[in-house]
Amino acid sequence: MSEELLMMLLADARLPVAGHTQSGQLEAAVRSGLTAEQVPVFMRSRLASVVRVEAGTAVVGLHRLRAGLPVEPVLDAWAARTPAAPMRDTSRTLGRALLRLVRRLFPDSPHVKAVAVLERPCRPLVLAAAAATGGLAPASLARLVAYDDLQTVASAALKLLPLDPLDATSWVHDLLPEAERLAAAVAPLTEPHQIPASSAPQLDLWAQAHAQTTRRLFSA
Amino acid sequence: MTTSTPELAGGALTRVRVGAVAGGRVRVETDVTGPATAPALRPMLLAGDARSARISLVPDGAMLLAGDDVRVEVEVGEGMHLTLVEPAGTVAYDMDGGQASWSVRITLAAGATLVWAGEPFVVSAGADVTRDTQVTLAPGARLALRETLVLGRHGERPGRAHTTWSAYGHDGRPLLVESLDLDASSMAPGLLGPHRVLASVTALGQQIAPDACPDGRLDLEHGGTLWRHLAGEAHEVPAEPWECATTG
Repeated sequence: MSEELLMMLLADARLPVAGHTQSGQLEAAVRSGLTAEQVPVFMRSRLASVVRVEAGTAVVGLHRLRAGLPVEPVLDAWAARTPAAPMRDTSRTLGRALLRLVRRLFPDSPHVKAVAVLERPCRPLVLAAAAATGGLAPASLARLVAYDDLQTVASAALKLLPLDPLDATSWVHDLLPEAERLAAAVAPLTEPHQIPASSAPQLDLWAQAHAQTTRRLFSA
Repeated sequence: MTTSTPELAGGALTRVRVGAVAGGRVRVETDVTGPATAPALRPMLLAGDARSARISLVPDGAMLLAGDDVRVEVEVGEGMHLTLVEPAGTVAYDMDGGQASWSVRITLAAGATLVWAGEPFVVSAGADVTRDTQVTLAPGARLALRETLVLGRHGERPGRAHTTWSAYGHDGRPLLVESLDLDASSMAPGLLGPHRVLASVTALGQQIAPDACPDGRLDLEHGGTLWRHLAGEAHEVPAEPWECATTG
């Protein structure tokens, strides 16, 4: 299978994996006063923190799946680096939706089975199983995680703020070099303890506050 | 010289061990090693009884300055209870291109309790500080730790702080791992926002009532709770989380 085509498939916003329910805490940020002009710096904050954790988790998961090593320690490392319970829940909900898809696409994959037996795997581990099955390189997997996050926030921004869609896409484009740096930084990681633990205190608090509100457009 | 990082000349290691009972009182061992001129935290025993001790960590000499390497090791023995207090906050001053480090190792034996009411740690403009905290908890051990990081003195630009924090259970399972690279650029939406004060209360090894102190409360995966508050001034940080962590 072409690595490029699999990347396109997994990065496609039209996948039935509930991506449209997510704003990456942007909704909570807007509620607390974030303006349209601040969205790019918000996206950059995510790349510097939670996205590093997710991308690192995916890459280390990929390595361990390929090496036939247990992935529970990766799930533990991710959970210890994700202090906000709503963020963990969101990642697991998205992981479940993605798992339904990759099970259908790769019914015989031992990598998908290894992740499916975990109790509530997080999304980066499910992505890692798809990557291990389809032969994606670690850097490609990390790019996928980073790119998906940028597009998630950009498309949520269009629903939350009066914006020109061309602006939102150009923000994503302008942050691609940052996504590439992130991918290069995490691609060599192989051990759970190496997974970045970059914290984003305000994102954690926003995630927590958003989970407790009833009036909301996005689930997180 | 006990420092393991040769570029930091001012290394001092403070050890506090609270162990088995000796003659009806808890055995408290404290020592400070390092060059006589190095700034250190001097442990002063305030109170002690059969199972508990209360110790103040008193800064000896001006700190924190370029080249300082302050290290603290705290061990609490099985079933023992240690309370640590600090007489005042710590200010990391302008280091003029230099660096300083502050590291803490906490080892809690089965059923041990450590309550450490940390005072604000202020990172002045021009300061460049590494802060590392490592905690290991045996079964039944409890930790309540308060930390308040302030970027810049009043009306001042932030200095730089690189903080790493980790807690592991006895089986090696990570409970909480995080790192923060803080400077003026961290005052961005999602990281610190416009706030220069990051306050944390960490409660591990204890169940906090589900509805207690909901504000800023983050419940961890494998038990334990972290409360976070972002504020403009240290005095604006609410006291409730610390009360919850120490009485809950």
